[in-house]
Amino acid sequence: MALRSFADGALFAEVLGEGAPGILALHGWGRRGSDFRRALSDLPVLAPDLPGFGASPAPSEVIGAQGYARALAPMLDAFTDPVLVVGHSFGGRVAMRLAAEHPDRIASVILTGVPLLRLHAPRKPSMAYRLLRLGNRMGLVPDEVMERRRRRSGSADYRAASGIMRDILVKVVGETYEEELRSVTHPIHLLWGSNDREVSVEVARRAMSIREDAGLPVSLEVVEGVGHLLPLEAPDRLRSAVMERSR
Amino acid sequence: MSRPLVVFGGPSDEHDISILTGLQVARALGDVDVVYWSKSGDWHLVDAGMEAADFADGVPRKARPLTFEAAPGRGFVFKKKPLAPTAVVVACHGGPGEDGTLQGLLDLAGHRYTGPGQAASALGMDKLAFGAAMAAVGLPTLQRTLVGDGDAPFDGPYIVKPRFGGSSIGIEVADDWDTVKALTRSSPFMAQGAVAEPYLKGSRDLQIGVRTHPQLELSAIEEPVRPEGGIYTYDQKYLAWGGEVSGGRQLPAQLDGALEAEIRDLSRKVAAAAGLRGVARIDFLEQDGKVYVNEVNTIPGSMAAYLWIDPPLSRTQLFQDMVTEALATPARVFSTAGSDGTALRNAGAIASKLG
Repeated sequence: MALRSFADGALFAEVLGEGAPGILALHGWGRRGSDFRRALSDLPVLAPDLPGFGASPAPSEVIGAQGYARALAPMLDAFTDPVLVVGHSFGGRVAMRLAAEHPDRIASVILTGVPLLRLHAPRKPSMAYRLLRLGNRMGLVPDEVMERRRRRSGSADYRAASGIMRDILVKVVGETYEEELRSVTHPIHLLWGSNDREVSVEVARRAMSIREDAGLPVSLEVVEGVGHLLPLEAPDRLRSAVMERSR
Repeated sequence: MSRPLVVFGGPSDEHDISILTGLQVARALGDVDVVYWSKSGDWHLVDAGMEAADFADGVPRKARPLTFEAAPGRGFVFKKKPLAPTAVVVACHGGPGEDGTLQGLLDLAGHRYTGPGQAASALGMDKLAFGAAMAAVGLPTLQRTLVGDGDAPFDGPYIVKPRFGGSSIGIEVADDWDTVKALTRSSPFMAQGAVAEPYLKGSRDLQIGVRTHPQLELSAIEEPVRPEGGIYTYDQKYLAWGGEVSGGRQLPAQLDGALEAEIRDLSRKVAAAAGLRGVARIDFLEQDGKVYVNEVNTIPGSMAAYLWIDPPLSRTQLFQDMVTEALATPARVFSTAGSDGTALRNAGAIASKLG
């Protein structure tokens, strides 16, 4: 449960369990690797703090999930065999990119509460907001006023983010993963909380049918009464899912 | 009319938590002036009835600007007139409000104030110096080392902490010495240095409140419950409500008599060695019956008011006693003894000193 540094100190990861690591666990936005302690403490897991979260320094440029996957690539050298990757929420998007870019190094993927697809088209900001934003860009509206307005309408993640992490959030929020769902050949297990209000089970069901239509291995397990933070809310279910696939 | 003045906020990581402590103190004391110290370091007079949410987006709308003049008889100045408080209740956590900076400023203005003086405040916020001071007077401490370029001074795993600072922000457990060094390089909280000590697996935290007026008194001992195998995080410690976590603690902690007596005895010695004043919280680590002095928090969240359960002590009484103490004795008195002009009269021309 202590941190170990990777990539010359650019990344820090929780080291769980004993022996050679076999599992890579990727946390959600605004969280950190320690989220997996409850579920996976006795398994050979590396759970990095993704860049910009926990102990790991923020990226120096605005990157998306693909950039995150590239930043994590040096960690794959810590594994001798193909890796079981667990991804929660934003970490699952990174897991999908990692599987797409390093197919030989990955064994299978477990995703929980991952925003893989958009169910609805994004809402356009109101005219008043766009005018204010234009005014701010032209130097007519002070940054403080703009920030106050942004805080009023932004998501909790957006309000909590600052500096480059806010730009990264804006970038990753717009990403979808249909293409990866159709191309990643590794078995994917979707483990979802039935009460997930951030990323509804409907997302998992649609992802499942995309995989099935493409003839790719996929399974779905819905955990009743559990919300978005499944690794903390239903640690036993995550542990079982991992145990089943790490043998 | 003169009355106490409560100051909170300040350019600190714990700015927000300080607002919660300050508003509690102001509300409990009643007739006080309230000064909000903004994140950017400006002073503002605010209404005592304000709520925490009024500060969520920065300086509240109705705040009136104040200045501070570091000269005797001046201090907090509103519309060119000194506020002349009877005493200043320092409700700041972390940063310059707790590390002696504000205390030094209050000394220069001749204000009486609560909590320790400038030097004891600085000692409490320097983990290396505090550990060394405790070891110097023979109190049990963990080996604590400054993280530099050198090799590992002892075996891991390590707990690595920012050298300066009062909260749990930035504290990490590291598997090996390379990770300790990498954390020190990359963590913004460790930019001014870091200390490392052995991570005691299976240890527990034990915390006790100390107050120094009307006499030295100790509170019940609490055991905050850690997350699975982890350390006590900033979120757990504070985000519930100003240091008062609703769950996650055992108060009083279940201790055998000898262990409790040892902690109480050590606490009195820490209070003397660290120059504590007002209300402080001392944190101990215990592993297999062995106790180590870990850290001191010279201005704890909520003034650690929740710890005073046996015998029960009201918040109002606790805060009033701090004010009484501040009024009774200044934290610091400057002395000019030995500078009676004799040396100057006998000195002759300065030019003669340059030859």
